[in-house]
Amino acid sequence: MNSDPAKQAWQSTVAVGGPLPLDQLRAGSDRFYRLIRLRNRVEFGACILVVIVFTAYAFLLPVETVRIGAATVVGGTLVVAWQLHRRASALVPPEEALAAATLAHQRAQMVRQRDALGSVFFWYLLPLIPGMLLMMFGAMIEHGVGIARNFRWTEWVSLALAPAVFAGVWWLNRRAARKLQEGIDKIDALTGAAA
Amino acid sequence: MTDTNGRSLQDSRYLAAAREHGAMIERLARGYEADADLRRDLVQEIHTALWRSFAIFEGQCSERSWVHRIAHNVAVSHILTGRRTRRMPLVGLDQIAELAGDDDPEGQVGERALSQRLLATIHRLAPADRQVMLLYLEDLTAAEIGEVTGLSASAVAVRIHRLKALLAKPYRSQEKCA
Repeated sequence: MNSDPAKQAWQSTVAVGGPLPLDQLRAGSDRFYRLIRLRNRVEFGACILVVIVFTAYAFLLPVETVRIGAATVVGGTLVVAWQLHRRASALVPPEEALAAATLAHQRAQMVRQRDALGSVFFWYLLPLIPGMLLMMFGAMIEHGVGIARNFRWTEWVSLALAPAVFAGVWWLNRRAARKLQEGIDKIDALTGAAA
Repeated sequence: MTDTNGRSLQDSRYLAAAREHGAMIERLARGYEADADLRRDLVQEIHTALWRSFAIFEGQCSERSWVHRIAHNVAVSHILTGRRTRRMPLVGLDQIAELAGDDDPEGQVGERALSQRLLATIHRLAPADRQVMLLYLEDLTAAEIGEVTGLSASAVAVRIHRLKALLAKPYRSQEKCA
């Protein structure tokens, strides 16, 4: 027995299908770009909020080193916003990319995601770290380490929380990048591009 | 060529291709997305990408290969960017001994039962093997499957060999029972 009954069974599952209205397709194509724009606006909105709040800190907080830290966070946020914009614009797939052989298309997408996730420390975390450190330890820098003796447990928790969140973000992204690399290696083995 | 002429050529190419391959697109979406609502979105995404693609189609390959490439690429992106949790890990054809549901004591091979088992098997497969199985079931030749996926000829041949063995198994079991 050959496998033709399987093909017949599969093709009989849906026997009809046709074009969608052209207006709907044009609207759908526009909607895609609108969604990208909306996402960019949400990200920029969040960045603007951070910039406003930390600019206020830079003027209002009592300790000078902490004020410098807040200003550095503002600078770091602008770097992150620029990086987000640069990387998000590459999300719109050109028609040529859609018409590539499926494994090449898949590989290109995975490489782009791997590179973004693998370098997240440099473009997402590092720009914020100097300002965060100055804000966290500014009081100690100005008044000496002895000030820490007066810290309550909530202050110790907040000191530990930021590095933990940063380390968690970095570790999760590195893990996702490694998984993507495994997928890329599999595709390379399939297409003979591994050499 | 003016923009208006270009747009109308793009429209007419899309309409002709969608009439011819519309059912295949629906089946392909079933192979990639089990959720009915998400599947409707996927079908629309594929049609939108197909319409966009005909702005640059100049016979680089056969129209059939072109449509399959666009449809699979959109579907793979749908899987890669989706955040749904999978109940079981995706596997390769070499890790599947039987069609899903082969433990059925009645060994169903009726068309409806078979199509359900094919679909369940497709949903278990990793993208590259899923593409080969879907393209094979759509009756593409080995050369066309290679053209669409970018797999080497030997990789396609190995997978088709495994698929044929897998698909013939229910019938061999039925013959044994008879």
